[in-house]
Amino acid sequence: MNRRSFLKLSLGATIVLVSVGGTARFFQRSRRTSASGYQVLRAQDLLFFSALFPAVVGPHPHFHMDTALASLDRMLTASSPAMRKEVYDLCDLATFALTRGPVTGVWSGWRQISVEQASAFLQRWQHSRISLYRQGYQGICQLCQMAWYGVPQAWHAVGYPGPPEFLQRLWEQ
Amino acid sequence: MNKDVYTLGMDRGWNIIDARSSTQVMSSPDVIIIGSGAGGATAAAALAKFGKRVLILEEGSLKTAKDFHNDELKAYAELYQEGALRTSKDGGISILQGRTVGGTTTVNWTSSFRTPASTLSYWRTHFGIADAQEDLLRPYFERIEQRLHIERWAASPNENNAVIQRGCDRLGWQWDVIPRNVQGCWNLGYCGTGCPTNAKQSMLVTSIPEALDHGAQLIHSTRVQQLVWDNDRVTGVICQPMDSHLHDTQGDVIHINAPLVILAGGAINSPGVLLRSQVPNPHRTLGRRTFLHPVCMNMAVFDHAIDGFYGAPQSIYSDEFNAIPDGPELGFKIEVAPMQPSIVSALMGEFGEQHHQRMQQLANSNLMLALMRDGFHQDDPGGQVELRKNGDAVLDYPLRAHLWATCKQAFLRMAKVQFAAGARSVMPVHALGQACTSLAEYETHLQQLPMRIFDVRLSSAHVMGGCGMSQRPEDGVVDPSGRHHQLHNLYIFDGSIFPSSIGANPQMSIYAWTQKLTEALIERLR
Repeated sequence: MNRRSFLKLSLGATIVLVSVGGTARFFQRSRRTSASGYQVLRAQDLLFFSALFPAVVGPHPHFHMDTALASLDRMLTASSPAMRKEVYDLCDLATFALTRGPVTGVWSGWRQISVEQASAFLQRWQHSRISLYRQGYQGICQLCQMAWYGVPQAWHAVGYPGPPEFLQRLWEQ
Repeated sequence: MNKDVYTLGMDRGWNIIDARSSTQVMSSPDVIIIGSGAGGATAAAALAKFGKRVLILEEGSLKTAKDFHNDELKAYAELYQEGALRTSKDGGISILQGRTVGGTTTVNWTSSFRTPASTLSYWRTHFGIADAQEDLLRPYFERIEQRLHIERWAASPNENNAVIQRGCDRLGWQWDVIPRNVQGCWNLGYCGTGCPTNAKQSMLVTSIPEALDHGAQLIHSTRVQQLVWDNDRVTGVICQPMDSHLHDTQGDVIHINAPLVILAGGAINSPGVLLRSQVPNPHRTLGRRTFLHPVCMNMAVFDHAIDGFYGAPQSIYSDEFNAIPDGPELGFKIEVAPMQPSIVSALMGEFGEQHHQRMQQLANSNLMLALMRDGFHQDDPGGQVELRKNGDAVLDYPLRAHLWATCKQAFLRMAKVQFAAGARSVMPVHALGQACTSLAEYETHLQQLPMRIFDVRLSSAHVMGGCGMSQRPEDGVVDPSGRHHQLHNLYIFDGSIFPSSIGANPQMSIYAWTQKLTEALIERLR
């Protein structure tokens, strides 16, 4: 494939993805509200990130799903409407039954997915020629990694001792 | 035990209002200042001391030393624009900017450089800014340096910074010590989450208190939606309180009138306010020429502990490659970044087992960055600030071939420094980056890596331009006195007025230029 036809393909693919993403959102409109206990994350977002978190974070001995999801939710709550929409669109596209298979290669659904299958999906997007997928890969990894390594439970296992303890007493009366 | 600066100040009568719980706006202010960062706070202190009734409006909330707990995610959520997840429009560059009382100065890493002579010369030649001269600016820099206790960092650099020193020494490349705006610094390393000891001489603990001591009012947690203007004058502003978590505006809109308005929301947000206000823009210059100092990074691993999460985050730099090149490629300044785990985890690359292994080397890792000097070539016009459908400002910053070519150069030169300093391995911060154990291996690896959006993890902590100074209205948004070319009682005093990037961390440039322009404004007001 020469550069010109590649550009055409990826542009076409992007348009298809964006419009399909819109369709996915239309069909999923009944699931637009955030899940109970969360500010931003909806049921399909929780499904998607629960499937991916273990694959992204890897064999961290203290990984805890609820802590990680709560941390991610706090990050997205503080972000912008534009960023939240991007995350919603991505999750809709990746979880909507009609788009999930062709877009992610995960045909069987996210609920019972193994870490190997989730990793295969990440790898597929990481090495994709379509920039939208590469953006998705980067977004998923960075959000999950920042969310997990922002919580104290994550620190000891990677040799970060945390802020010096005396600082906690600095402003106590 | 410590007493918080703001608790003490409020006790002696500081006029600070949380817009979410009070509407007690001062009556008939002489000047409204939009933004409380490097520009807004500096102007506020000078004008309040001159006797003007100053009203400062800030979108972020008031967080002070007692709220700063060295907690990355808490700080990103509370103190940064868009929860530190702001990016350029296409997502190609992450943008770190503060949003809190004190602006970015509350969360920056304290590096304090004067505006480089080569930058001033470029502004004189290309934008007719006659005062862009070292001699004329020196007294302002000297006063700022005195006021903010800016001195070359006297303690030893932490190991993260020492890598630059050692590597450059061995290569015979230039390096020097970074001047920092700190007094009695504890050398902790948590500048980016807000200084817990008030050692950092940010606007939060210097110019804002000075303005408040001279009767200024600070209203925080309120967003200026628009300026109100008529013919060639601004008559006031329309603002709206933020909601309890500062996510969006909520509640009753307030109109405040004043005979003089100073816009200091920072690059991206200042042009954003003007775009929302649909101010005259006859030459389509508004929001154009916005620059970022785009940054690419290298991660190195050493055999000994680096502990880059502790100690003054930036204390050594190299300007070996920071001249303005003859060709279209960009010069770049070499520095390091602080290495707290959340932000660094997003730069380690890969996922799963591989990412986990890289994270386990956090304490032995060194994160070097090249800050590219954009806006000094006719083919490098930077980005354009636009409005999203909901009125939020966003920067469209196209990634051009010259930037990618510079990235390649910068990656390789940083690797040279890191290997010369004794790195066991060096890896470009790239979606496909792998650790290389020799310079030759790194060079081969680099040649195979695509230099393209999303793969190269670009970021920025310095946003400049978009309301550039220019002698001719055709070339910018404000004149060299900071006055808007079309609205004659509107001044812009912040990083948005720079006609190019600075070529060094910009806080000092904002302080000194604002000081100079505010004093000239005061002369005209006499």
